[in-house]
Amino acid sequence: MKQSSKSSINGKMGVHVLSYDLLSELASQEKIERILEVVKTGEIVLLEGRLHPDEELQLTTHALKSVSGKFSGVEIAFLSSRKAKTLLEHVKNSLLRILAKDRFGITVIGPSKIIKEIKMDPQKLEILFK
Amino acid sequence: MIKSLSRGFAHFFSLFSRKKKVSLGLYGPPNAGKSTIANRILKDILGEDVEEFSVSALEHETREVQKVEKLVMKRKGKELDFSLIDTPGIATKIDYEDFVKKGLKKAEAKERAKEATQGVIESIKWLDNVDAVLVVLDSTQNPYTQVNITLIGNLVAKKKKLIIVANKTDLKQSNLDKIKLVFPDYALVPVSAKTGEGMEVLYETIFKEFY
Repeated sequence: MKQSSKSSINGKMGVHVLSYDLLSELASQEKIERILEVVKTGEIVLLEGRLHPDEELQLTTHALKSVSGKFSGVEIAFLSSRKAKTLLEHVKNSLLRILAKDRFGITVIGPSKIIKEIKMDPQKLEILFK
Repeated sequence: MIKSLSRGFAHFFSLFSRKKKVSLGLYGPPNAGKSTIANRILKDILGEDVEEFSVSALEHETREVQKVEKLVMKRKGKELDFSLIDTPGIATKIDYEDFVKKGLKKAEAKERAKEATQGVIESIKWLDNVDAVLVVLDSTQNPYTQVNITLIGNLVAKKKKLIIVANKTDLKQSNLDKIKLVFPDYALVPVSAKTGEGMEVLYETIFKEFY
């Protein structure tokens, strides 16, 4: 299912939700451009799944290259939906990761001018706004 | 064909050599103490007080990749020839206003932010030039951050050898258990670059992991 939706908080802030299918069709460069295009307008991107570590670094580099008075970079955090507690769960998760690649979990990317911090915990994310 | 044969011979002979060359990078978030550790390593090797790398309580003091070459570490008849590369702290955001809040004038803060931004980009580029990495973390801070996870994820993807160095163990808030919990799969060495505690263990671990 390809999906991209947008909602707002008190009519002030937009949240773009991008599906894994939508992003998986894009090359890394296009993916990063698409995400930054939204974040630079002051809105938050919620991704289904996670970026490859190399894409996360590319995103950081591109974001920092865009730093100006109005844009100071990004806050990024990933929440995994599958945390193994037993060996069996670990094996199951490893197999699912091979089959589904980086589909599990969600990634939050937002402009650091608006987001002060994203507190990460293996089970939750806490987004603190400025 | 000839090239791969000569590489094969070089690898074969390196197995019997007591010398090894390594390009050793210090990576981590800002203010974790990378430059303090780099200075401590230089002091221990050269036997004199050196302030090769600039240190400050203000974030992003290191804004350029700095390299010291031709260093030699010896352990049990083995010799490690290495270059030490100190890098600007990895961050996903740099706001000049944060420097203003810490007392810098606006123009100075903007210049520092600009240099810091270029420094992080340079630091990321240099990941391809290092053979092994000391990931320096401030043990008083939460290690479960996206910057740390992204950095270590990239090192693993690029097949770089790494040691996690938990710095600032002299401080009360230091929490090694949390680092062990978040990154259980890597060699972890607690140190205080300030007092020098743990540095000998770090050198032993460098030989064990990188030699």
